[in-house]
Amino acid sequence: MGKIAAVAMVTVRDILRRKILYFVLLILLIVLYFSLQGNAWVKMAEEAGELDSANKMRSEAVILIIQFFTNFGEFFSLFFASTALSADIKERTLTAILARPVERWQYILGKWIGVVGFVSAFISAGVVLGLALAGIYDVHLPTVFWLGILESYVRVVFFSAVCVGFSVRLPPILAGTTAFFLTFLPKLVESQLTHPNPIARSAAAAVYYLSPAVMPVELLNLGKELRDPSYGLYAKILLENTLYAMAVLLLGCRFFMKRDVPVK
Amino acid sequence: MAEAVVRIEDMAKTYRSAFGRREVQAVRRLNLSVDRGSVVALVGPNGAGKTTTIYAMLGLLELDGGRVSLFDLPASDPAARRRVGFQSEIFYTYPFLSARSAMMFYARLSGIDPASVAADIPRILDRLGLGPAIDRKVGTYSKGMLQRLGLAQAILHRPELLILDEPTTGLDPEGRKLVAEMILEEKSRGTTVFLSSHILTDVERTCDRVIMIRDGEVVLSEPIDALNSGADEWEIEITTWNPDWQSTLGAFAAPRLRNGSARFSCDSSAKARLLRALLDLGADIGSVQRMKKSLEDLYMEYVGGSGNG
Repeated sequence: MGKIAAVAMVTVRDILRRKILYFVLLILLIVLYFSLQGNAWVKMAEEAGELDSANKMRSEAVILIIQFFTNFGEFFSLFFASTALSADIKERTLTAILARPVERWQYILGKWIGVVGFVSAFISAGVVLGLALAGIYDVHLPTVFWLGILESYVRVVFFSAVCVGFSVRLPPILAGTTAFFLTFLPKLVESQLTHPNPIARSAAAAVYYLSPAVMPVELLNLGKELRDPSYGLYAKILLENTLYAMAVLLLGCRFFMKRDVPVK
Repeated sequence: MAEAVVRIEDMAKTYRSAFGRREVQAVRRLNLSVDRGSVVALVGPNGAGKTTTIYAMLGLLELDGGRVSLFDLPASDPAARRRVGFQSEIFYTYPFLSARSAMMFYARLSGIDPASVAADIPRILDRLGLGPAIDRKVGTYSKGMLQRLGLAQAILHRPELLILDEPTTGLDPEGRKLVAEMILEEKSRGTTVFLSSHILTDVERTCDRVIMIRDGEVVLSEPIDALNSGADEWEIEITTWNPDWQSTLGAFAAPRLRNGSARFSCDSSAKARLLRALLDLGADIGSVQRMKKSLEDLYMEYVGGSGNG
């Protein structure tokens, strides 16, 4: 456990020196500034007696903050996870690690935990900020909101595991785009499931069932309560995608065991 | 018979580019063993397969054939690597770590409680001249300092086998001397040392045995002492040369003349006859010494001119 934790910690520290992180934080400050500016519009709407509009604006401000963190969190998980392994290869820090009594799977797991840990902390910061804003604005948070937050964490777990797993064999850019593309794949082939040609139909079915599950509704949306939420289905999709991610990570570990560490 | 700490049998490794378009056979049927407590040097030109051999010993490569074992365990077994310390040709680590935190990091990776080596870290770094820079970010280190840190992390957990890939690369003479001293210190502690080097004087100074490889195959594996004692060539020097003696000494090889003196080379069977002839002529014999082949001579003889780098 100590070895995995050591790799995870050094991965987090490595992420903390990436310029892109500070670029995103700068954008965050700008978004926060404009969100607070929006407060003046809310007050104006209240004074004018437009309470529904005021409530809607408050909800949208909370959503904006939280979605900023979840969207960038997902981007971070794609970016940092797909470059985690290649950075160690490129900067030749991998050799000194794997020359130690570290199993390949411990290294991969450490990398993944480092990325997930960092991005989860980033999203959690956004959720705390969003909740604080919701408290100030007195915005009601529906039950499905919490499931939406959970979905964001699952997407981070999914993207980071699939990216780390794919980056064992693929260049980082390809690993990241493939992982992202996978989430759209079911939608793309759905229409072909009823194709008259049995070969095309079978191929579409194979792709459909080999892709991760797609959430049928946007959960992280405070603006509307779902009329008939299927919590069981949502939970099943989240569980399925988590298991999918773990399977890809496991396969990545398996392939990594056979991979040479570049000599020069 | 000494216990073999490293055993490589019929090792073969070919590097293939993507889709197998290009193949480079780095090592072919390599056999070698390293006895416990010895200091062994792997010598060869660039591209001979030295680093590939070292990486295979660390379980970092998937071999095409053969077997590499450390302490009778497969090289890929972490239990074997727990007993190994390794320094790469150029030590690369995370630039945001300080020397102290880098040492802690590698201790954790070796399964050692960092608290148990916390006191050893400043001592080892100090011994290698890194004491004043212990808490400085590694990113600010010079190449020589990085090499010293590489050696420090390799010996931190008191390994039974120390594998050093070109340990003196980028070091000044003082640094090279320090590394040589550290190797001898480790040897006196009972550590087995396996190193690759281009600097043959360092090899002669520190190693018990030399293994020369060329094109991925062992071409010479001898104890350093045997290399010297095996040479049967003598040199006799006379301080003053008289050209009239040439006819008497015609049966022997022609002398090399320099500033009035002369030097004869012969094997041990001719040595006594030549000495007697010289004494009969009244020559003043300055010295009689056994000629030793330097490691550089042997290197040129066995692998010279085959490098690609």
